[in-house]
Amino acid sequence: MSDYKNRNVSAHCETGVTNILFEEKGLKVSEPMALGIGSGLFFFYLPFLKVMGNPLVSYRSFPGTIFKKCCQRLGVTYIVERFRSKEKGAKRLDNLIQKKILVGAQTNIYWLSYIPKKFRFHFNAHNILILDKKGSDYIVSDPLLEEAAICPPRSLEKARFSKGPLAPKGMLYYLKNHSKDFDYEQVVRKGIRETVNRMLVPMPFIGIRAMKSLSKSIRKWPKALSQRRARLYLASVVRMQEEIGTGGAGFRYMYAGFLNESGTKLNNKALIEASKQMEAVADEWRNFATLAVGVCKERSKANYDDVADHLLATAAREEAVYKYLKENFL
Amino acid sequence: MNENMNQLLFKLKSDLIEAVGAKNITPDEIGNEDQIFGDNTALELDSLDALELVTILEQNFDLKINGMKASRDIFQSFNKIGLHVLEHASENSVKSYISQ
Amino acid sequence: MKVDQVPQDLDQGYEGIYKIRYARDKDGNIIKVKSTGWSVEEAATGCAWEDINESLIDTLKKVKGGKLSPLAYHMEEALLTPQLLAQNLGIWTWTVKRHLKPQIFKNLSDKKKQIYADYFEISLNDLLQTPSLYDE
Repeated sequence: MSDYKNRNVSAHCETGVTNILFEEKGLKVSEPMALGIGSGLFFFYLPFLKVMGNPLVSYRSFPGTIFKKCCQRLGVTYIVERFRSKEKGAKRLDNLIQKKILVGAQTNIYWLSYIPKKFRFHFNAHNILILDKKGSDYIVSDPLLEEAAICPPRSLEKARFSKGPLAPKGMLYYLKNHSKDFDYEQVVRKGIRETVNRMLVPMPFIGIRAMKSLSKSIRKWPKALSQRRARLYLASVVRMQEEIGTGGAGFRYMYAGFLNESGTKLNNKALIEASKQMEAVADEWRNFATLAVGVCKERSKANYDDVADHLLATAAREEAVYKYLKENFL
Repeated sequence: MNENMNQLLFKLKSDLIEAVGAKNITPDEIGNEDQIFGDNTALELDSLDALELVTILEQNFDLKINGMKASRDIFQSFNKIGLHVLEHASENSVKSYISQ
Repeated sequence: MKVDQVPQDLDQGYEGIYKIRYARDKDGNIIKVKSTGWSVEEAATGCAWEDINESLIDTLKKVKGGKLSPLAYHMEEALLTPQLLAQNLGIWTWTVKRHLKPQIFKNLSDKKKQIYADYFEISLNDLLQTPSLYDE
């Protein structure tokens, strides 16, 4: 496996795969840049939709959109293939590997046996790269891991064709061509504009509004649910923020990285200042997680109201960053 | 009722009984309008058995049943299955299946 | 978060790998930093697993007590619900639910049981068994 050292270990699967696929084509798009240009930073809370028994909370945009938007905005052609039959899906993958095409795949994460057991839940929108095939086994580069891993064909098949929400249907994707140049500033602007607009839009369940809704829910949980369920709900929010691979604080640190990187490249003071603000917001998210877990474990004097209060305060600070960007950069 | 249809249904019933290993039941005991799959049915077949029926239809008539919703609709009774076969399978395939 | 504030809490569950967290270095850049774990994340994940394991033990007790078939255990161990298992096998949910009943499952043909065993990648023998309640 020493041939396949992943020099670009990433914090998050989709941004990681985007970064690696682009770099292979000679386009330097770091993981934070992928997040920013792909308008991946987001927040939504859908209390009526349960995922594995927990209310749906997400700190990022819908799976697949980061990659697509990066391609669109950077003028890169990409191909996405889905399959009705597992056999056709496997055959096509082998075909692409033979052609030495670096291919990304959407998969369920539970069936990927090389991932530590603790992190294997049924989530159907994980992204990996498939590098090669040795015998019947596949050599897989998971952007979250430093070393490539061996994935037996049956595991990969189950992962690629897992059913349920966000079912991958064997999805494979790869890049074709790219136009040589893109306007860096324009692309950054587009990415930020979409993020800012979506976060500030006065619609329920999304953006800053969603954070406020979540805060209300957190206040209600200990009263409306059993102690056990309330703790689990709270823990699930923290898990969405930290466990799933976000680079910390639900992608907020990564976004601060994007603002800093683009700000430095464009020599733009507003972006650099926004980066500092976003970093501070990310710190508050970390504090929120710490507070929440303290309540879950009943280890602190804090209660659900304190957690809800802190979330509100964090939401307000994050809102301020978007407004700052709106006034000083957009 | 059409003789073709009669023979077709009889053969389908026999094949399915054999394929799922149902014991002590003959094709005559299954009504053409009877529910085939489900709790509280004569055959007590479940969807794992439905896969057998899908295979029978595919192999003999080159008919593809796409997805569980489709199978639920078509497999409601032998009459429905028979109608589906007569509608979508080639005459030759039906003739050769019946004469097996 | 500064680079030296990135948690290195040696989460055993990472099994020797590390996660990337982004933090600010002394030059003001935000860079990738390897993290061996964060106790807060570990606690939250631990909460979820505790619940899963408790529920699994509950199911195991029901299997041992003849209230559920071994399928119920293996399905739950794979974090699946009857709906998800049915969808993945291309069969009907009521079929899976029916097979959770001990007597019905027992009377299934080996062929049918094998379909479940194959999906879980265990032997037919293993499908019919469940771990002892006192393992660990």
